[in-house]
Amino acid sequence: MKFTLFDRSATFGGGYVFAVVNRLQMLYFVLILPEQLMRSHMLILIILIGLVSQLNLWILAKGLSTKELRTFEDLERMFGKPLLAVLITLGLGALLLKMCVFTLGYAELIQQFIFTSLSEQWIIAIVIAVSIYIAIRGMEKTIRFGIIAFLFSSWMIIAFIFLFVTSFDSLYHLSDVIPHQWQDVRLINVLLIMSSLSGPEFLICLFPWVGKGGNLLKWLSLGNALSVLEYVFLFAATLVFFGEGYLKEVSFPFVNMIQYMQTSFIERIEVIFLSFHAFHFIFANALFGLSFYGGIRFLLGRLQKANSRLGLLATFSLIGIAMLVASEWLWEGFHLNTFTIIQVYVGAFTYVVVPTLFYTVIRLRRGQRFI
Amino acid sequence: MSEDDALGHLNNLTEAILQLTFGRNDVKRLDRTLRSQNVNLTFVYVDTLIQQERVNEMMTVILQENDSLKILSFLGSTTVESFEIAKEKLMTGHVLIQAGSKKWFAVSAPDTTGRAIESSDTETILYGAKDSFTEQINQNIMLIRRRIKHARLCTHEFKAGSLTRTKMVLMSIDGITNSDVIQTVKNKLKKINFDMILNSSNVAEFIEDHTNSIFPQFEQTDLPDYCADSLGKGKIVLLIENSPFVLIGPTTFFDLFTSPEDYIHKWLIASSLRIIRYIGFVLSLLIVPIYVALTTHHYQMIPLQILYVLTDSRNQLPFSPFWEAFFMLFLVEILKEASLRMPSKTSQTLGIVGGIVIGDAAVRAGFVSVLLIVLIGVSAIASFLVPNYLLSKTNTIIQFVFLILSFLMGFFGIIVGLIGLLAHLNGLTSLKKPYLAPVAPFYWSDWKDFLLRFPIPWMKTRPDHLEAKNKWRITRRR
Repeated sequence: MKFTLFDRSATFGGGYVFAVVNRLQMLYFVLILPEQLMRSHMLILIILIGLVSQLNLWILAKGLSTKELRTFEDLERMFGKPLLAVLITLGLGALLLKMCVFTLGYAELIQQFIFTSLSEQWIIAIVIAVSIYIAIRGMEKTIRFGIIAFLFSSWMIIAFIFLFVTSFDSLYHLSDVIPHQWQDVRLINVLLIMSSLSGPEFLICLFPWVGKGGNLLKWLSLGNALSVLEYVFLFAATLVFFGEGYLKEVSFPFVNMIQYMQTSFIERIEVIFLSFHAFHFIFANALFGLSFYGGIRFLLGRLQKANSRLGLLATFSLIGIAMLVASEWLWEGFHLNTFTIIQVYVGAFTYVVVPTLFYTVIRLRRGQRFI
Repeated sequence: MSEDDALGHLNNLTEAILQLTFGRNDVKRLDRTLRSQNVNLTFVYVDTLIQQERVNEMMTVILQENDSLKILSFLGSTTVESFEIAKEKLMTGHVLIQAGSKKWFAVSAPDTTGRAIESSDTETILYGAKDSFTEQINQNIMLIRRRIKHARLCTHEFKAGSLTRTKMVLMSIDGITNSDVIQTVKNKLKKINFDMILNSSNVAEFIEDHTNSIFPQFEQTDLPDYCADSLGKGKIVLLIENSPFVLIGPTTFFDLFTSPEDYIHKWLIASSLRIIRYIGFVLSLLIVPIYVALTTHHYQMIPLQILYVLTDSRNQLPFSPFWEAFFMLFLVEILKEASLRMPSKTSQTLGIVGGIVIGDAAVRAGFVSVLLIVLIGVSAIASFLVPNYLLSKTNTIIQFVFLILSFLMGFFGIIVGLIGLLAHLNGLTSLKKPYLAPVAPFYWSDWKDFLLRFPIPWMKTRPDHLEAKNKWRITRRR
């Protein structure tokens, strides 16, 4: 049977867009956000930025719904080869950085909370191996896996209701939601939230599979709304649990908080929770890895040639090596390290710029009757 | 050149047919003369394939009549025009008759002796029709036709197996079943190139989309009720000669958890039973690996009171939890396999010897912990909850894989295994239809008969993932 990775037998509807957007927004930063934001009034900031990001989604939906844009050839015709090559090169850099940050962050969490004796490199290798296993089945099936990733990882938010109930007497920590003074509202915090919510812009890599019909904006918005709700809920839970004063002292407060959840059958539930997080981390890796391979194929001028398993494996090996190198020499441990800060800026930048640029070029070129 | 080929090249069909009687003791040749017309009659048939009484009757009628050709047409004979046809007719229970001229005729007289219609041993149901398929393919078609009395129920016949020449009948409902699905099966059936096709599993291996997967991509059943229901949903049914099991496709992973009884119980009860089956499947896969993960890597996850019990149970054991679990699972598999192969009366003894004597002795000897025995028992019983036997057999392999992963990476390993398993299922198709529907791809309307079984009157449409030609199951008034 012919090996294909990017064939398209069907387009995916709103449910997929919802699941993929939500899972891509719930990657690593959700785990470190509370210790950076600390103040309860940051809840308002999360909601505000969530609302502002709707503008990005609106522009993104406009771009993705363009009827004339169905295949990569259409994209090439519309953007022109030189411009597309430049954009793809920049995009590959952004993708690689994003993959490195969330995978290294996740590996670090697993190493710290589950396997203290296991080196991070092994965890990275396992994550990459399983991502290849998903990706090798092609883009269509990888997008489908988004639903599975959503179903197997989104349920965890429900568990935090119990934490709210048990910490009911500490709700006063949320009393300063609308403060007299807006302390600690720094640019880095705004960008951190923006970068946390980034991810949907990479849907442009999947444009041939995104259904043009239906209300795309509605599903993008629903996915974004659920993400904002989860961010608010998790941040509020950590605030109530630790309090503003103590929150900055705790590394990974979200995970530490789960440590206190226990039943008469099982304790240290964070082992289960962190393990289940693998679903969307691995899904995102597979999706981005395939997009990365597609980008490399374009840059090498091999878009019309048949896909090869070897090419895909080489791409993932490249990504894996980049992660291992970053883990060995660039990653500096917990919190916002230099590497993470770069991703904060790049993530926020791509989320704001990519949809706008995408749609602007489409509008301009459509007007010039390039297609 | 084989003997048959040599015979086929003979110009004289009579000579070729008569040559068949040499060296084949059960191929009989009878020569008679019709005195009134002075015509020589030759009868050739395979003794073991025909119904002797019918042949005797036929001979009597022919020999008593004056016009033998007229009576042959009355008996429903067909003209044999080539040696290939002659061989095929002979081997399918026909009597070849030559009346005077060089022309040969074939009259059907097959021996239909076979097992009577009985209740199913493999899929027992308490309430519902008790009849099940037999090895007689025509009888099986009749059992389905009795249930779907509609002219649109189509049958397409195929033959496979160069030696067995096994007859296969593809059934579908015209106007309901997706044409692409029918065409896919037809193409696959035509491509079967093998000498022996003996049962439905042989055929399934040839027409599956993914031969290397351990998951069955067709349902196999011997219940006509279930077949009729599947046809009504827009699936195809493939009957195979000499096999009481038919193949149903396209199937999904979740179809393998449905039982005919789901549609007999009240919907709430049926739904709860279905959920128990899913939980049973997950338990049978994961309960032992979770034990290994907890006792090998995550002692901190076990509450203190349970930890006391566990350490007390394990402190004298010479083996690590992995080897302890591995040996016990292996032993259970030996017992399961042995109980299948032994006569039913002996298998009761096996249950006592295996389950009680060996289990108890292993604990007393200090080889395994009592807790593990309990978990192994739960896992074994839970594995029987899956209605589909072929799926329940895949449990074993998956369980061992999970066991190794839990030993290597604890709970994280189990989740990695689960992701791998779901990615594998997500990549499978059955007759080009997604195997993990209605979850991935997501078909919301099909969820009414998925985890829960909603009331039958609510199921007004056929499953979306089958893309039936007519999606409505109800007659819509204009």
